[in-house]
Amino acid sequence: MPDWQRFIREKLADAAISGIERENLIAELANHLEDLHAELLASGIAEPEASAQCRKQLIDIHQIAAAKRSQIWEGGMNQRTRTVWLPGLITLTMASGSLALMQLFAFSRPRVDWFERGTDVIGVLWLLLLVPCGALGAYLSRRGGGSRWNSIVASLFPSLTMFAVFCLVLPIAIFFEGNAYIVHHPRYFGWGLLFWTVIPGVSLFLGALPVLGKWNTQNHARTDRPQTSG
Amino acid sequence: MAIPSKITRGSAELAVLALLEEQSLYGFEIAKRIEERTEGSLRFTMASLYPMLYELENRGLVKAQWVTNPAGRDRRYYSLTPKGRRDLEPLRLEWKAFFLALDQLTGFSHA
Repeated sequence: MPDWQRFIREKLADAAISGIERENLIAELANHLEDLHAELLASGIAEPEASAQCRKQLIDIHQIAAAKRSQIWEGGMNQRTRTVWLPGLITLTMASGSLALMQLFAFSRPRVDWFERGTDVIGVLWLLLLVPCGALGAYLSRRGGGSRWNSIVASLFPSLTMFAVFCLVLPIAIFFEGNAYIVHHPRYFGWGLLFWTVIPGVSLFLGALPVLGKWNTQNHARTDRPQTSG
Repeated sequence: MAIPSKITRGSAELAVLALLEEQSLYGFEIAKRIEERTEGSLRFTMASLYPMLYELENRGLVKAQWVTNPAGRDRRYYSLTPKGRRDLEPLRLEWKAFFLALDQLTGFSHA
């Protein structure tokens, strides 16, 4: 019997598909050709003719590879949306929404100021509320089939967003607005970073911990090729 | 008589989903069973079968899983997802309505 795997591998040499997906595609198509070849031989067709008919099936192999590539790309996007973006955005909405609501309704002071006494309580309450927010993000990511890292990113999404904002604020303030205040007072920038990114991040992560603890290796086994007998 | 590809393309999705409703199958089996049951009218090449399977997988209508059979050969089995099961019935009705309309128009069932 011809070595169909080698034959397909050669045909796909210039196809833009790699890694495990490439190997899976080669294995699937080679299996198909092996079956077809065996069936043709069983029906009484001579080997050269059977091989030729099988080879003819691969005329449009690049069409198959393109469909596979498209599936991987779109599947990857869907997977990322399900396991990172959507849980992350929900966590961010919950975190920022809870802070806004507390400021609007529960307390007379309209803003959180970490440096003023009396308003600390809002911050502490918010940090406590971030614990279930982090848990929710991690849970939604895990339920969507996310890996451990996906769940961590989803739960820390509000902190990561704030970190990104801080990273943007610095160059914008210095280079576009010509504001040298931050440069002369880096300590304030550091405090801001600590109170808006690191400490909330710790709260969120504490919430995510029980969910991450339940996370098992099966969630991560999405290589599409389990070794099951049957 | 083999059905021209334009008609085949539209109905292939229904044929595959209906077949997978019964049991999980791998690519070659799907092509073979459809060919057998339609007495050769519907015939898949690899280039028509696999892109369609990947697209159905992408749309969440089927899922694929590698299974090693007792002979030690890996097969990529396709099965219907709950979404695929839900979408199959309306698809059946659509095609039924289509053939009914075509029948009324052309009277092909009397031909």
